[in-house]
Amino acid sequence: MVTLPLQEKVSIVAVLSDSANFDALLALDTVLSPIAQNLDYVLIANGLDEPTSRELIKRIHELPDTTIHFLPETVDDDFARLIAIDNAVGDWLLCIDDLNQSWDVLPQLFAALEPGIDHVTVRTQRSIGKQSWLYRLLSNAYMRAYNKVTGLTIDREGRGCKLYSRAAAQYILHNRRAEMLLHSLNLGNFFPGKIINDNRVAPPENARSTREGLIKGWRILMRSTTLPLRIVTSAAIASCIFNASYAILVVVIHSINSSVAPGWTTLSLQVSLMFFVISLLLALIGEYLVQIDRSVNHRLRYTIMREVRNMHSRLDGKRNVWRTDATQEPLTKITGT
Amino acid sequence: MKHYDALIIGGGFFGCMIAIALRQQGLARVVVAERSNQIMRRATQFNQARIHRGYHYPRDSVTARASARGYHRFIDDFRTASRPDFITHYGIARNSKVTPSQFEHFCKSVGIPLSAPSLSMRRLVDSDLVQEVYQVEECVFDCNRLMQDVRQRLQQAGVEVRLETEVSGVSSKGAKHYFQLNNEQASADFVFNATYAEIDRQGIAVRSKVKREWVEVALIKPPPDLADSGITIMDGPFFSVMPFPSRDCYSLTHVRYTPIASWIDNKDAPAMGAFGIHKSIQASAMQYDAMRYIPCMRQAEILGSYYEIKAVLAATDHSDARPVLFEKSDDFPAVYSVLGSKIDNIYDVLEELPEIVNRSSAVIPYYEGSR
Repeated sequence: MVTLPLQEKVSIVAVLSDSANFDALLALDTVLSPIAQNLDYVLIANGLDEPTSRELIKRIHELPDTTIHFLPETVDDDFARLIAIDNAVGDWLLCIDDLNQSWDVLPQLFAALEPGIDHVTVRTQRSIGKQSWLYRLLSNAYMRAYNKVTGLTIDREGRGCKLYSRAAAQYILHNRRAEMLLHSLNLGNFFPGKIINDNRVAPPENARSTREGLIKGWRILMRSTTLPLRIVTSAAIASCIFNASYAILVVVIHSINSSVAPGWTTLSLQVSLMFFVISLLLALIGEYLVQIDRSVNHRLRYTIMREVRNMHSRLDGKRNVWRTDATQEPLTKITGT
Repeated sequence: MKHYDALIIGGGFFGCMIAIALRQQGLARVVVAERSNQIMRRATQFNQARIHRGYHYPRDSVTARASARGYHRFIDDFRTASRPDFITHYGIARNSKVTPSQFEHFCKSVGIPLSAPSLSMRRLVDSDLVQEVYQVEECVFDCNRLMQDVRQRLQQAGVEVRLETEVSGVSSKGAKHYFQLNNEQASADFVFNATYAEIDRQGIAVRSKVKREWVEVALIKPPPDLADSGITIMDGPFFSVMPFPSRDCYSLTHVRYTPIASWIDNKDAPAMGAFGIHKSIQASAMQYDAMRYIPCMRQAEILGSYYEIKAVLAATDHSDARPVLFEKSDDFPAVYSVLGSKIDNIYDVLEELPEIVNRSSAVIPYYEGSR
């Protein structure tokens, strides 16, 4: 079994949706403790009811190095996961998609770490969830289109867990397509990854209505790309050209044809030039908006209502001394970020 | 032939403190051999003079916790050398390796205080390049006063300090180690090699790879707006403007320009100029880059630069981890190489000593006058 050195911290990021998850975390800790000596848990309580929140606060002392961030309102699970990543400081970030799963695969996941590897994904079999057929149809079509446009490989397999190096996690966090990158099997050539295929069927995804799916799809599209705005500016430029051409045509007709109705030329020129100016303004404003959007720091915007922390740490009393003798290997780290 | 219970090679801060601790643990004859004509004149004198509290290490909680743990103890122990009369700040740059949320999360988990900076400090930084600024509680030390303090402690503890002394020809027979102090033959039960960048040049092999950097630290007269305060911008772009009390000026270090050359094998060591304070090479580059983040830095005046060799464990060089190396030699029964790191991590090293001393049969009973 791989054991990471003390200097290599692993942050476990997960979203809590009910109190039963806490027992799953304790089970996870039992498996992880022999692998990583330096662990912390960054948990997001997303849309919990009051009794469940109370229960979590009561039980936090059971798990050292744990922080629970309570959100004021329910947000999408992927967004909640990004909030957890935004607060995690580990050298490695273990992202848990679903806490109600078996942890047998974790030793294999950490064994896959080797110099140069920045992310490892456990890919389970996808189970048919409670989503409607319309949701599934639209979702599949959306993903296919998204993959084609962006060059990503969005994981349509079951939910499992992923291990990211710090650099890879920061890349996801600061990327416009952050929510989709959480499901991507590739993070670009500069972050090589590995996939571990797990034949087990993953727990079904939380039911999401077609309307919720459409809202999320639209939000991700708007956040991921400026393409819709580009379409607007392109249409405005096309309109400019059309109106300018029409104005020239009106002048030509007026010159060669003496039988045009009185006032037609004036009215037509007035309308075409007016729309020319409006379209030009739209194109210019649209272009500036694209530039502004590019220069804006796409930082996550969120509010944390309450933060509860277990200050007890498994590092308490550990000295910052690398003590070696002939029986020990010199200090080595898997990665540097 | 003179016999010692322990020989400490290197009269830096770590070497001297180990010597005092060994005396306190009952070793009667402890000697520190220092090559130069004064203790604590190299790495201890020429560094950032910062008493780390952990803020520097958001990506290594072990080093951060050790610093947070040792901070108050160090200030209490070396009250005359500590200078808490400066306000220190940390700024998180855009494209940093840590986000402001992560930095706040880290400080809370380590238990080190953060607060909002004054409005005037906030206005000093360019908000396009710096996401967030925090006021922290961290101070610096005056190396000259620290040296006086340690010298006094050595004297009080009864540690023999041999200046301008080279140690050579380390060998062992049974449990004893033999060596030459200049040309004088001597022996010791324990040998501690605390020679920092020279750690593998004492005839004592060190298995852990040590990376050396020839570094330049600019000494500046700070801009008036930064008087009585220091700031560190991190973590990716990384530079510090900190008070440097022993020279009554400020130091400016920059992650890109401070290291001039680096090497692991001594055979790859470049030709270096003289150590100590000389004319600046990279200081202007450091200042120009710092001006992007803190525009008032254009008013800083470069006074010169000091040059020194910095040593870190090669395995942790690319990360935030800065553990103290404590390596037992493969070739000798009781020779230990100690590569110090952060000054307030000394207590972690001292806590290692009783186990080493007590498990050896060479221990001499507790000496009354040693505390």
